[in-house]
Amino acid sequence: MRHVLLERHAGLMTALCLLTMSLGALAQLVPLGAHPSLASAPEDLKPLSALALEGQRIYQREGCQQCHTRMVRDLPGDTARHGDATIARARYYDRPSLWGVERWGTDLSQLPAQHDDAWQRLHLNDPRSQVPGSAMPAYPWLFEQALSGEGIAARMRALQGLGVPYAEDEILAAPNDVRGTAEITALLAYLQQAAPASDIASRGP
Amino acid sequence: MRTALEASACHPRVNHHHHVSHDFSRMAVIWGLLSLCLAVWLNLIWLWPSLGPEVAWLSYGRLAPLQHHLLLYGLGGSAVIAGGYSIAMHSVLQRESRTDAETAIPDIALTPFTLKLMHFTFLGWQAVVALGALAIVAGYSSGQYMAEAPWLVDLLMTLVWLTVAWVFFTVLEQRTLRRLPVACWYFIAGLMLVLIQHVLISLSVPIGLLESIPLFTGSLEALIQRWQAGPLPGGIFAFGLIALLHHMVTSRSRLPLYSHRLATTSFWMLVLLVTWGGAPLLFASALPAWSQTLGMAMGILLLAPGLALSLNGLMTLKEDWHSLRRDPLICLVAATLVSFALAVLEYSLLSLPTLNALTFSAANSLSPAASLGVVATVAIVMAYHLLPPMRSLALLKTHALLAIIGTLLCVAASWATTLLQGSMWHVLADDGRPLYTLSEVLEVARMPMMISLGGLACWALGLLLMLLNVTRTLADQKSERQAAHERQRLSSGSHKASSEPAMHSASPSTTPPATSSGGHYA
Repeated sequence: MRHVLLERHAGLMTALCLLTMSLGALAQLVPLGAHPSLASAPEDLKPLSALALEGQRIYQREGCQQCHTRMVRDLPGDTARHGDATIARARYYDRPSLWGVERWGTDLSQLPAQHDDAWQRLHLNDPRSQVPGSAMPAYPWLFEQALSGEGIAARMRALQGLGVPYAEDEILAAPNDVRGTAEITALLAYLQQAAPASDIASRGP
Repeated sequence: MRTALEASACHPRVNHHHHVSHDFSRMAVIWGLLSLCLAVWLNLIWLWPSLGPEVAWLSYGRLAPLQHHLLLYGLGGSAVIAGGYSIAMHSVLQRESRTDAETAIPDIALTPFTLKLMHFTFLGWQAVVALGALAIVAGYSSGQYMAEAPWLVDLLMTLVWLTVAWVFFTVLEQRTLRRLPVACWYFIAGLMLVLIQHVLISLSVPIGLLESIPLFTGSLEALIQRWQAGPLPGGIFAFGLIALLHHMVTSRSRLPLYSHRLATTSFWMLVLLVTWGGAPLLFASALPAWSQTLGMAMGILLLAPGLALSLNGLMTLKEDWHSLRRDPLICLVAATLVSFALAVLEYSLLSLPTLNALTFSAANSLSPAASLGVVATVAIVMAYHLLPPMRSLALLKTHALLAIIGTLLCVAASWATTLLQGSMWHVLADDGRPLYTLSEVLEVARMPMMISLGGLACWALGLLLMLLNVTRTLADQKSERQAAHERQRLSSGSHKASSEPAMHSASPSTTPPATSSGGHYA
């Protein structure tokens, strides 16, 4: 085809651009959607509990993923520090995937294994008391604010609609379960549960 | 004939679409200034953390996405839309006004409906930027990289973008050029790119006014998120910005593009490769290996069309190298072309596994060569181009210098950080434990961060000078127009009955202030 034809017809140009771009997009999305490690939920993977789900909301709200990753790459520097590389199946329920793009702090996937709950509370309240020279801001408000339990049922129901196996009584009990809990507890519950459990099979197919 | 003249005499001819372009340009500068001030602040509190106040909505994690949002959507997006309108209008050449080729915004007749739509896109886009910013600060970020606005804002953005496309194609309908210029191809591709990527990332299930759950999950979602950052500078606005760049190269320098064949080849290759942006940013992650390999192969391929585009622009400018000294905007365009080549080179290097592993982070995808060197520079050049000639050429020249120095400092700092940290990160001691602790690795970034603080400060200062210059120029233009209006009113009052010749002599004096956009600083 002669290019002049395209240059004279804006409609033709638009259609061909759209087609060419979607080729690339489809070539990645379709096989990826059908990939064995992503097509169906791993049976041994437990979705986030109500409290951990609230924790994820707080993680997202405070923008933790701006400085921290939750993705151990399959590279020597990463695995020597943070243990086994993260596998796709362990991240099946990540919505959105808060994997992070920059590392101005440590990777958080294995944090609970490295520091206990009390250390993390002290650290979040005043990072430089635990790690001298750390550039992390303090998060005192996480200790003062408590969860209201509002919206958690809607969140779980939406996830259920997208195929996350929440039981009906789990959803009904959720608002009462989380109400009154300090935000810091929820955040730590998220970091705890989101840590890649070593019992979820080795690197997927 | 008589009535038309009378009407034009009573209301000195002011083209409303000039206002829209001016408004877009002015807001772009304001968003850009805010973003750069934030960048300086974020850099400061990284260096001296005790400076940061312990207030939730001022914490680092909320201001960092806000900075990206304002830079990409506020500065970049506003400039892309205004520039797109200008590109479309340039394809409509009118017989009666031969000055069209010389003005940034040609005077063309638009229907009142189209004008209304243009005003809507202006207000709508500013609402998208402002509401998105408020939502991020309030803690309602969608958590998706470079697309942090909540779903309601995403919806408004889609609507505004469709309207932009509508206006663009409506104006293009009236074109007199038989063949679309290269800038038009890129803008068309840019309209489609934003639609595809924005809609894909925004597909979600709402759970309230501000929160939603993305439709895609796990690796799939991670990949789509990284498309936003994209392989080309500007992410989802990449093609829009390239369109602006081409438009500036040809219309500002008034030279024909060096090679049409090079333009065609690189255009279609870029269109084919642009949706493969995710993989190099997810190297060695949980994304399936075949997807990483394929995407990174595409990243290496990208080098050819990227450099071809940059070379094509530079070779065009080479025809009249002296214009770089005369016109600071052409100088900035040349600097942008170089930054573009650098940014594409960075991305292609990231596509090599060994070099990718060196990036300490999971890849700092918003490199300064792309964000400052291309997105911000193209946006300010476009804003200057669309606004009337600046009152102070000296301020403009200072700004151009500050922008170039600022970009160079930030690029140098970013490369130094990446290489220093990357080389330390993977060094293991004999017992298999890492040789350097995280604190030691981070400490190395201190010096480069100071340098980048200097670079960002240059940029912020430059934008402040620009805002000053723009405000004064527009105020001057307004008072000039009022004076002209006054003269007009007086003269039409004195010769009420037989004034046709007088009108004729009077009307040209009213047109210059309205049409004198984008004068050439020759």
